[in-house]
Order: sequence, then structure tokens, then C-alpha cells
Amino acid sequence: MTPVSECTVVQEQAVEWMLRLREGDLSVEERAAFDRWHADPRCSEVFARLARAAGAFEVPRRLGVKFDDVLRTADTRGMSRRTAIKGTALGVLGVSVAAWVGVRGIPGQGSLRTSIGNRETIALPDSSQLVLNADTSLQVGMSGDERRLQLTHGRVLARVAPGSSRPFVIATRFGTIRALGTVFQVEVGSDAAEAAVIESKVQIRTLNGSVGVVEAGRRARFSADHIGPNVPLRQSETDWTRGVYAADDVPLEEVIENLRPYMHGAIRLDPAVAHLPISGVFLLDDPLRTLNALPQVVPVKIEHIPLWTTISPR
Amino acid sequence: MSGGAQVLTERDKRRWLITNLFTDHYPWLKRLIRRRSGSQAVAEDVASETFLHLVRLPALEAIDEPRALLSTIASRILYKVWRRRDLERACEETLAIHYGPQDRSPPEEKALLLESIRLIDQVLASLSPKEREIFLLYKIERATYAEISQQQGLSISAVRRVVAKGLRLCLLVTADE
Repeated sequence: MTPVSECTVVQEQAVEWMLRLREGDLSVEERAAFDRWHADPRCSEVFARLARAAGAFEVPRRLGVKFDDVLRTADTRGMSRRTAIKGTALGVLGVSVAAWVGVRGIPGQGSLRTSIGNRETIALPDSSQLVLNADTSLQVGMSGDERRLQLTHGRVLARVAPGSSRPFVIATRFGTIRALGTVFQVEVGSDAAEAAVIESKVQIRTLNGSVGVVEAGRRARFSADHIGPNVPLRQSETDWTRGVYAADDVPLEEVIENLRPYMHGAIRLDPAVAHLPISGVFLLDDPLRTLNALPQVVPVKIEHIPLWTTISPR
Repeated sequence: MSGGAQVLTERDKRRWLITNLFTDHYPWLKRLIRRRSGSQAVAEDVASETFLHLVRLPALEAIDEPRALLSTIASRILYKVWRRRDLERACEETLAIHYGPQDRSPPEEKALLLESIRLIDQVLASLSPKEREIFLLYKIERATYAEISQQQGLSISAVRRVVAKGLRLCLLVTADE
């Protein structure tokens, strides 16, 4: 819950001193000022509380525990309980269900979100199947006349249950993809989305009304007002659903984009090496091993500390 | 004390309001929470804590929709209760991995872990994903402002602001305990 209260003056001062002390290089005058401030028992009390609270972040590691593991376990528990309580028909396990907006007993409505490093397969009430890539979020809306998913982030593969006359639609902020009994994949990026069709075909309708069809074995990128050319699927288009990423002479940049949903923390890729061509098979669930193998095939050096990876020219 | 009588009447009025709110809505609230949580014990606890929150509010007489307000406060408390229990179980499970299912972890270790996890959870919940990352880089990885700023593409002063926000939250979430 977000604390709505504001900090008092003393609390603000405590925060400021805490920052200054870690920044170091306090002048003699500053040090004396801190001592004077700290001599006031009200101030030292707040400062001690802050030090204790801030120190809590180091406790799990000291006990040999990763705090994010614990939080994830707790999230999963909360999710399964909420699922049980709402009696929803979505068979989600291990997916953290962010917000059940307007559930109220209507099955098949809600938000699905996968965290970094976790792919999930989900059965929809109409027995269509979704495979969510790691770090993906979408909203499900099943109504009498339409099956509609809003993909806000990431990539999803849909195996649409045949035999229903209800249109199956995946909406993105650039436009919608409409299908009837088909297998296709949608990925949404920051400036465009891409539809890749494995079976049958889909229709793209961009936000500004351009319409195009993508046939099986082809893919197309689209923005709000433009649909790019239909190009052949990549050889290993849906391998990610099995936890594998096979790169065939693609720029390093693209390899990293595919690994990113599986990496905690940030990856900084030096522009000087972003376009180096890479070929190889990578295990998505062990992205670090993959990255660490890169220097053997291309002239890069990898520096890795937890939550932070840098890839630069060697 | 000329103002004494006045203060007393105000307080009486308030007490009367609270009594009314309690008799009118307490049984309803308890039923509502029992339906949501499936537990009588949780319903009792959460309903009484909800009223404790309510009586701390100023301007009780200005509440138009007491049931809407009560149900909002109650959901927040219920979420807290659940989250607390989830975190507790998650801590136990994690320690069980380290110490085996017989759970030979020292009890003080469990208490310490749970306390820290609860605090981390509350602080992180009030930060955006980007802020969270910055604060964790600072706290867990002990990165400098310069390192974080280079990595996140933010100015050093922006990074410092986020860290200050995180520290302020550390104080705010420990204030009401």
C-alpha cells in the first residue's frame, strides 16, 4: 500500500544525512553539523530507525536468501488464493495475476502478467491456448460475441480453439489482429507490433484503419498507420515457447532483445558491437551462460554483476 | 476553563456518531468480509481493525457513504493481512529449502527475515518499476549515483532523488508500526 503521509522535517533531514554519509567526503564543517543534528534525541531516534529500515535490505542476503525469490513465492500464493476465491475459469498457475479488474464472477476476464524469466502457458475458457513470453502482460476479455486480448507488453503465441464463430482478436496500441481458428504470434514493441502466422491467416487493422492480411508462414510489422511487407517467418519463430532461441546470423542487438525478458536487471549493449552478426542456439532459461559464451565467438567483453550486465568491444 | 464544556460536547457528539456507525454497519461489514475471506476469524479481526481506522478519521459527520468507505478500508486491511501471511509462508518455504523440511532454522532468523522482507515489500510496492531498479542498484548492489545514472540514462540528481524517495519510504512504512 502506498503510504499517503508526508515526511516530517526531521525525517527529511535524516534522509539527507543518510545520503550525504554514504556519498562520503564530508567536510569537517559538515561532520560537525551532523554531530550537532544527531545530538538531538528526536533526530537520533529517527536516524536510527532509518538506518535500521534501510539495513533491512541487506538482511536476506546475510541469511543466504534472495529477497526476490521470497517475494515471488508470496506473489504466487496470493495469485492462487485470488484465483480460488473469485472462482474464475482461467487456469493460471505460476502467473502473477496483477489485477482482476471487473471480475465479479464473469469467467475469462482479468490481467495476466509474467515476470522476468518466466514463460507461461495458459488455457482460456474457450480452450484456446496462450503461451506468454517472460515479461509479458495482457488483459483478457471474453464476451458473448468476441474473444479479445489486449497485449500491452511482450510477446504471446495464440493457438485459437477451432469451431467457434466468435472472432478472436489480439489488440495492441498500434492496431488489432483478427483470426478465426489459427496459430499466430504477436509481439508488441515500443514503436511497432509484429504478427507472425504459423497456421491459417490473420487480418491486421491498424489504429488508423489500414487493413492487411498475413498468410501462414509469413510475418508483418505494423505501426499505427502503416503495415510493412509480408516477409517469411524466421526459421525458429516459435522456439521460444520451448525455452530455446536460435539465432541465425542476426545482429547481437536482436539476440539481446530476445534474452532481455529472461534477465533480471539491466543489460547495457555498447552501440559499437550492437550489429555484430551472431549465430547460435541459446537457452532462454539460462541466459547468463549464453552471454558468457559470447566472447568465444565474437570480440566482445562481458562484465556482469547481479542486476547489471555490460557488453562492450574487446 | 470556559472552553471545557465545548470540547466535551464535541467529544460526546463524536462518540455518539461512532456508536451509531458501529451498530448500523458492523454486522454488515463482518458478513461482507466473511464472504470475501471465507473465514469467521479473519472477518472479526479485519472488521474491528477497520473500525479502529475509521474512528481515527477526522470529520466523521461528513461521511456520506459509510459502507463504501468501510468496504474500501476493509479491503485494504484484508489485502495487508493476506500479504502478511503470504510473506510469512514464503519466508518459511525459502528457509525450509536451506534448512530442510524439518525446519531447523533458528526462530530468531525467521523473525529477522520476515521483518526485513515485509519492509522491503512495502517499500518496493510504493516505487515504480524503474525507481525500484534504481533503488535496488543503490541498496543491494551498492552502485554509485554515477554508475546508476550511466546505466539508466538519467541525470545524477534524478538518481539521487529516487534514492531519497526510497529512503523516505523506509521511514514512512516503519512509522505506523
